[in-house]
Amino acid sequence: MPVTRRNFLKLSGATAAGAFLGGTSFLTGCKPLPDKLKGTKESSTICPYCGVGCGLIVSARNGKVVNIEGDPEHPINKGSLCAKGAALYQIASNPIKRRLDKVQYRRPGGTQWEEITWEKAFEMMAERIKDARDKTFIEKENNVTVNRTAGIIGLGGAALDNEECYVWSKFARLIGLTYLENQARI
Amino acid sequence: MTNHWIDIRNADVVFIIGSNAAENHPISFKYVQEAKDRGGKMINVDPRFTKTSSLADVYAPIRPGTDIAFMSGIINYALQNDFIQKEYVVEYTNAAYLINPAYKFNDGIFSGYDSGKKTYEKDTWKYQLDDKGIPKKDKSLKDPNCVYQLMKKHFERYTPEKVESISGCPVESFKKVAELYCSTHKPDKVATIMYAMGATQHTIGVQNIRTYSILQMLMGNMGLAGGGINALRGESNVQGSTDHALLWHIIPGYLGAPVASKDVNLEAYIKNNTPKTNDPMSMNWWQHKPKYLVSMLKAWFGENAKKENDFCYDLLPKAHKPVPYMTMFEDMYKGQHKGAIFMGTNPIVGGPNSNLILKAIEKLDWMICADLWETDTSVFWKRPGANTAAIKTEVFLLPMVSSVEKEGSVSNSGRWAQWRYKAQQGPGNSISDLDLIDELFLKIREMYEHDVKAGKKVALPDPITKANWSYRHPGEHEADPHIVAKEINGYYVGKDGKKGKQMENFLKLAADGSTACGNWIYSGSYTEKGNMMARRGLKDASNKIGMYPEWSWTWPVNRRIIYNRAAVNRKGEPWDPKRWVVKWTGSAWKGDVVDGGATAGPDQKNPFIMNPEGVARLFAPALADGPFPEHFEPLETVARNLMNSRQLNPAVSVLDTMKSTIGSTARFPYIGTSYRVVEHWQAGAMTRNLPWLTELVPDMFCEISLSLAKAKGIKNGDKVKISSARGEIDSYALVTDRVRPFKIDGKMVEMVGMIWHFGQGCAESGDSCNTLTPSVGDPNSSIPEFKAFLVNIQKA
Amino acid sequence: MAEKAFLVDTSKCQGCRACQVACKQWNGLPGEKTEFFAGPEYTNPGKLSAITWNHVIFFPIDRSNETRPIWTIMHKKCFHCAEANCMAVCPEKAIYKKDGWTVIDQDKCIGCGACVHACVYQVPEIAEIHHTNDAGQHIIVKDRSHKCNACTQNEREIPACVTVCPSGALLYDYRNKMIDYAQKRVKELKADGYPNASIYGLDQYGGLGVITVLRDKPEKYDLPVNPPKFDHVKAEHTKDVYALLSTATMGVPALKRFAYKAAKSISKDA
Repeated sequence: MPVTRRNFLKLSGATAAGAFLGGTSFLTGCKPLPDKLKGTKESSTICPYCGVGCGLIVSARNGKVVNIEGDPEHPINKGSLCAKGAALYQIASNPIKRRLDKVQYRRPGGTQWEEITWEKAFEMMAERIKDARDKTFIEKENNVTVNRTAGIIGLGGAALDNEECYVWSKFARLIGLTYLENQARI
Repeated sequence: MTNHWIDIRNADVVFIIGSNAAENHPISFKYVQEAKDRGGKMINVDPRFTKTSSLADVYAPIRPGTDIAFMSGIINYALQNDFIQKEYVVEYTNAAYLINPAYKFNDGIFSGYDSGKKTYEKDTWKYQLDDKGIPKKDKSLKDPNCVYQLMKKHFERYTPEKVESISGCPVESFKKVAELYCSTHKPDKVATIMYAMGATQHTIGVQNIRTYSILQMLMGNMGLAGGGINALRGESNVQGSTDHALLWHIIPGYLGAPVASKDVNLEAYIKNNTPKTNDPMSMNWWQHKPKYLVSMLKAWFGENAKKENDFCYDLLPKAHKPVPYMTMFEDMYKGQHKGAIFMGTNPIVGGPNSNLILKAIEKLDWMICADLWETDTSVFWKRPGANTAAIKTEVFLLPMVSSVEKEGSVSNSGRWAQWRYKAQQGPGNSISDLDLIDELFLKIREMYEHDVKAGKKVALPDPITKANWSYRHPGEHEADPHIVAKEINGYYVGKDGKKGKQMENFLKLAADGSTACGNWIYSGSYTEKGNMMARRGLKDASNKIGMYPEWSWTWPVNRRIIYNRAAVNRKGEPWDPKRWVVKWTGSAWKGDVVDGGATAGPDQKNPFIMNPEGVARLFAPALADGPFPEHFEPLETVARNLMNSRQLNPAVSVLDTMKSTIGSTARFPYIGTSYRVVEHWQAGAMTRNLPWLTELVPDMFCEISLSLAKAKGIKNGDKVKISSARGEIDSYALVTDRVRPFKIDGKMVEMVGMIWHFGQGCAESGDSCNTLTPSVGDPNSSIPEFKAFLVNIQKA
Repeated sequence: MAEKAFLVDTSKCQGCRACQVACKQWNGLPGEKTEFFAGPEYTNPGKLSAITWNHVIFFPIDRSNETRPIWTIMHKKCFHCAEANCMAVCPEKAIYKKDGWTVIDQDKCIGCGACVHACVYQVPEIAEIHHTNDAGQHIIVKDRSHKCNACTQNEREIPACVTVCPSGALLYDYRNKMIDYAQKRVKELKADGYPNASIYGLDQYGGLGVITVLRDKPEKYDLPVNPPKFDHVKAEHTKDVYALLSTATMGVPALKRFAYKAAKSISKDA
């Protein structure tokens, strides 16, 4: 649900002191809105770090994130965050350009990345998965239908969305993987 | 968590053990502080004096890996002093149940041990049954074979003095903890136990948690507001990734993954996996398992799943053996795998004994890494010292969008599934993990369909070609997470009039193919009313305990506190009327969504609905390493076991690749342990690339005591080398009086604590602690021993 | 004196350092390059600077009471003194009070460093870099003095460091309310086994805009109960000399800085 800026500002006040001191008397007058958020569109998100599930408000201007702070309405964190959550903005703003923005390929024995297109990458990856499946698939074992792809492993997913975890789990099983694990095991 | 974050505020005693919550789950402290502000007390037990300890009312140090000794000491204290919630214990636990008289425990070994296989035959751990097949009970708790008596005998060996000798915790500190915690045995007093990886990452991890649950049962704290067993999960959706079964041993919704040796067809699977009971008091919720499995198969195989073909059960892969994380890499090291798909994970930093993982990955033909960043794993072929030209592994490094660049839900520790939105486009050509998996599947399917048509010989194409896979709106090139969420929730397939409608919840799921549901526990999350996970209602429930039932959606069926039937007595009256969770009005339940359906009254059904006996297990007849917890030493240890003549947990098997690299105190005299800091997250790519966070913690560091520093000539800020039998790393040393040596069995023992977030390949790099950790783990959970091993340290 | 005040309750601080990051997020300040830890325990950076307007100091653990060890973790930023030395010493009247908060007017600041030397709490610093934040604001101007402005620059109801604090260690409200609350906390802490619990900031320099609750005496945390009195006579003399010399600087900041240095040395000799 989109959150209005008016609410965001009002509530950020109400929680910060009100929650602890039981008063909202400091909410006096109507101060000018900060320029920083003027004209931004706000949406809610959930922190990608630990399992507390804090809410944040992401403010974007012209499709670019300009500010991320704790969601004052969120019943768990009520606007507060830890150092990591407070730094989420730097994942979106990418200040030192470490985020990946292109598909890269390293050939056998290669000493550097080569840029390839998504189209090419999907073609190559699908071929390799299919080839490994065709070569290592076990249909029957001791007269039991096992339909297992022994030669591929899948790992990870604790940072994915539920919908992604679910299709990843389904994908892996349909391909025949039993070697499927994620961070929950470690 | 059985409860949830906000609920911590309702506790009289907050017991934090095996967790540095102030550091790693900082927002939990909003509620720890609130509990304290309301007059509650906080206990912290930890090898170091941490940020959590700094706010504790009572702090007690223990040596890493000795939780069982410490907590068993408290169990003994409670039983000896009769500080238990008797009515609760008799009614809601198996304390009164009679165990097979052949059950024995002798010198660390329970009856039924097979020393060759290192496993237990569990027949002697079973309940005695009456002629109706119902477990026999003695509610007076006097029968020598009843669980209560067996328990008393088992734990009386854990005296305060034993606790001190094993754990290094002074008797005085131990007693303070025991006294404060046991004050919650009164019906209207409640404690919560908060734990994390400090408890689980051991060769005795599951039994550590068992000690917590036994205590919470004895105190009558399960199911109550401010109570429960609360595992603090470390990743934003590690709850969801587990729920959706990204683990070898389960399929979505905690159904067992089919095993080749026994689950040969659908009938056999259902027989092997569906528990039965003759006890009319038992809800035995898993009796519904066939409905959940068949509905999942309908979601996965659509119209192709028919009764006459076992709903395509055969198309599910069946495991030939347990293949958890460490086994996976051991098999990869042995050359058994051609390819690997890594979805946002960095095992070279995150996995144990990481030099082995590196060597394993080098044996792959290809590797796909989907991530936001280059990680140590994806650039392993160009790490310093690597023979790059000789590494033949092909690598695909795929750019993924971040959490604010896509839409979907994540489930927190309290099982709240919360929806989040897209605020901007990801950089360059990045796409979502959903689109990656969707496109990859469609591509593979296209290839199989092509080959089949062309008459080429391929591996069985059916699981792929017969799958129900349609996540895009017509004409769209991207998958829609809402379509996936609706499939997870489930829908009616054949019920007249309701065909195509979303399931309201899992109660109407059927085993006849008339319903489809991707994951039964999420049924109710996306109904005809819409996306329940996106709700932002702030009205609290009638019990006013901070459940916020209209905010997002919680599995199962929006229940906020599970096992909440245990929050009332047999009359349905709350143990604590001021902090009630549910109550029975005589004809209906009020408050939270009650466990096990709204119609059965409190005297008709037992509260622990997932166990076939319906009560909680003080004596657990199904675990791999014994029905009661028993202290064993870590694989690498500084001490001899003072409880029995075994060193290592007898149910632990050591992997072949680990056997030659077990260290001893002669070369590695100090305890090594690993942990995290608030500024970094897991293997570090998500934080070591952010300048605001690397300002705060820029380097790999360890923490050592003043005495060890003095003995080794190390000053604060010095560079040091830390080694184990598996490798050596460089680190900075933080010399602090928060770390102190332990007096173990009369001898002083030092500890080297390390953060494990660092590795190569990010903006700020450093050596990885997991170069040093052993790949050995718990026999139940297979979680590795990251918390207690042997190291040496010297000034670099 | 500021109508409002910050309250720093070290007895509730869990050292999560969200305040340190949230300040940089809201104001658009860059991260600092650090190595290991610059101060005791996890303290990083070691001091406040032109681009770090608040930081968290982790004092070494005090185990003198074995049963109640104290590990103090303290949020530190500009204390916003009512009678601010930095303001009194500034030759360009660049430092002023806005709603009671001590703020440096970047247009007037010449980067002479007078405020840096006058501050006993080591708060302001002259920037060595230019930095424009993502919102396009020239948030850091080179050769100018910078410090916390209590979020009066990018204005908001509640300063960013307070909004983000999870555990009630940082509060913001009317000063008298904050003092009442601090006194209540000290009473509770004394009853809880910390007999030396104290409040810092009630009277220093006319009363500080940041009230700090401590589990021990302020001196243990480098907070002087009786900080050195400010030498108004000398400061005024320096300013007089500077006023004279600066007429020849044609408004060029570098020359102004030179003029200030000269004035300082002249008034020292006087």
